[in-house]
Amino acid sequence: MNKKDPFIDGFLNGKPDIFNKLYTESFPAVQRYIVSRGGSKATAEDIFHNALVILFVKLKNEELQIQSFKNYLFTVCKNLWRRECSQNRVTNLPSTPLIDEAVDLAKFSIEQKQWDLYQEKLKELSENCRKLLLLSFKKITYKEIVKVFNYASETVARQRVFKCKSRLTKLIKKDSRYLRLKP
Amino acid sequence: MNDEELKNEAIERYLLMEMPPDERKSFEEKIAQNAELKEQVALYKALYATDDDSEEWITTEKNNELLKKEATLFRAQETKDFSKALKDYRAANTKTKRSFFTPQLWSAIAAVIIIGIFILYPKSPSLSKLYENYHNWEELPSYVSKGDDKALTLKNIETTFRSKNYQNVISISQTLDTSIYNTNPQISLYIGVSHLETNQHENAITAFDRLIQSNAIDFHKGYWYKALVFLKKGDKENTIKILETIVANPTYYNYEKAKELLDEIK
Repeated sequence: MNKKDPFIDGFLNGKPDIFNKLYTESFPAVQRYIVSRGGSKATAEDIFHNALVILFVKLKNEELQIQSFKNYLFTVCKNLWRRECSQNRVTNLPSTPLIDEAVDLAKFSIEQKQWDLYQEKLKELSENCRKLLLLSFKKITYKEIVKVFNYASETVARQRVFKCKSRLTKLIKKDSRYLRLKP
Repeated sequence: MNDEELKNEAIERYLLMEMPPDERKSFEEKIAQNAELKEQVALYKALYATDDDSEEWITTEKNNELLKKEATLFRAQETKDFSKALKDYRAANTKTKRSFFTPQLWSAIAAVIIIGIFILYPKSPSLSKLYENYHNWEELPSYVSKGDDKALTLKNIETTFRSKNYQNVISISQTLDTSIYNTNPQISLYIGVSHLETNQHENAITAFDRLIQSNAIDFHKGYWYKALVFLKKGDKENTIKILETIVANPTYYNYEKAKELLDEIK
């Protein structure tokens, strides 16, 4: 997205009309998503706020290759929520930012960049491979995959998933942005 | 299948919790000894996080240089100013509105809906509700009365656990000498439950499997707590599977409760 875009420019300059648009058009969906998964409204507020700060830092400091601000914002909110769930942490936004908060957001920002990298590399695969892997990452059984793709057997499905997964991991590892992960 | 395919299959079965405890244990030993395998497992695990419904999230290895650089961007004055502007905007625009739907009216509506649900669906408790009813950490063994030196660590873990600092229990457990799992296998219960409380379900299962595999006289407690993990996860099939193991062995821990829970689930 271009920084000269009036919406992005207004966002980066903290224009109230842009904040208003974000809170009226994007926030309700984020709140519904979080509350329907057991989160509170306050958590949704904190996550939305943090996501906007993360987007601000990204847009200010790097070329962000996204098609839609609204969609990417929702993705970042979902990922912040998933991270919150996986670590069972409570998001608190103190009135004056603390050092820990900056480090915490920085950690997430690094993780989000890795997530973006995986998505980017997934898109480089053939459509068939991508569809197959998306099912596999959903933990759909090979039995089901055989039905969806009309494969001759589970062995064939396993081999196809294996090949696509190997292709994807090679693409990811070859990229200079790839960081080693903790198992 | 070639070696790579076999490795891939093993990683998948490991991540999907399809390995029996002994195979899982030996696979974890392999992971610990083989950096390449460790990286592959981590990357495969992270790939599951690309699915929107996944509970997984990515954890990168510590990279202080990168983190320092990134944190500087979040500490920058312009970022603080933006954050403040956003908060000020929100504070000015979230005044409470008076509504026809007063709290009392909402309470009445909620009461009618709840009563309706109980009348219409009296026999279908959700797995999460059952989890709430059946988990009880007060039943965990206590180390407080023991007096020897080793017991200090155990007491520390228990005290930290009782004060609900589950993340700290996990941190302490990572510093433990693994011999403690032979001398005090029940410690895995505290560690497993701490993982469970922090939604790290796979780690919780690993801890309870460690107890099941141990020589402890009450190794079978591991089954009950493992069933609770699956119950909390909403994994009905595996919950039933574990409960059936308990029900097939009347001497196992919480045999009666397992029967009762099994009936409620089915």
